Amino acid sequence: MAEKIDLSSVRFLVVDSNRLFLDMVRDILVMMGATTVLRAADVEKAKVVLREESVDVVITEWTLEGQSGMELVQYIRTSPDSPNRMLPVVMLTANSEQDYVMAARDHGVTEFLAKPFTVQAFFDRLVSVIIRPRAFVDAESYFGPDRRRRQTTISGPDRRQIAS
Amino acid sequence: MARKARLIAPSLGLKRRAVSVHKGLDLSLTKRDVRRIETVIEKSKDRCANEVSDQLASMRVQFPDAMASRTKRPGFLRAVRAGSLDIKGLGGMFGFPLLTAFAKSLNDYVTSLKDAEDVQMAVIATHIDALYVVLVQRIAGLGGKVEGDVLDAFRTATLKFR
Repeated sequence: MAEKIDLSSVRFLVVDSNRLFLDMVRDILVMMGATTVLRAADVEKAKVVLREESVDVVITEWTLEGQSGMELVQYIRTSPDSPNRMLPVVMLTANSEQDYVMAARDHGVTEFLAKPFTVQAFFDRLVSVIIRPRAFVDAESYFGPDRRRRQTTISGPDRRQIAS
Repeated sequence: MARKARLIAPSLGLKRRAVSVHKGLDLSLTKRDVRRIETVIEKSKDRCANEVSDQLASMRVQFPDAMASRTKRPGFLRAVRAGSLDIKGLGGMFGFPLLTAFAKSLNDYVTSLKDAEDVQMAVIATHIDALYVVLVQRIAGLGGKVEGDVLDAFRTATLKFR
């Protein structure tokens, strides 16, 4: 039988200073079957939720009032107070240019989706973070999902070395 | 000496909880599911229009003071940066990709400015006016030749008056 994704067992935290987007993302998740969608308008409130509630997936905007969504990602990935450094984070943002995507990736965001977004694209990102979790890299200058997205074969000797 | 990087295997607990053969959505959404979920967005269309209208009204209210006083321009630019980013994210969601296109042009432009000369303020004002027209006339899609020409004109103006 074909696999299905049951979002009723997934606890979401949505972070956005724009009330309309906060409500809309919540409503879309509920229509997709989610029953627990926590919301926060800024990073400080998001941190309170993360400390006090169990959260499985964070969906955050980059530009927020006060601290940015990237600072929230940094907190999740690197803070000793982080409840789960490997928490899946979807960056859902109107800052869609290449340099934002690269910066998000290099700060440990799991998936990136530009606003405006389609229902299909949003669902695909959720499926990716839930059904296809990635290994994490713990390095001197980076902690986050493995940024290598493609598996390709190489010819010739493997000359990669792990930093000593 | 840098410490060795290590690879941590993914945690599969969430996947185990969320994958079912009985309950939930197919991993490839059906067209019916997409249409059903899109009703949420459809229902928020008026709210989106109100939100965009409020953002533009706020920019228009602040514009005369910022035009009259150089000291008010950095604050005005910050407000336009924030408002245009919101409109950029909203427009295409509700069937108005032209709002997104014009708002992106405006947001890219003001993001590149720390302060604004009078001519740059004029470029900003023209963007705000164009956004108003799209909203009031409910121009769906990317419009026609006229709208395309306006977008081209914005590209030229924002490059010339950077």
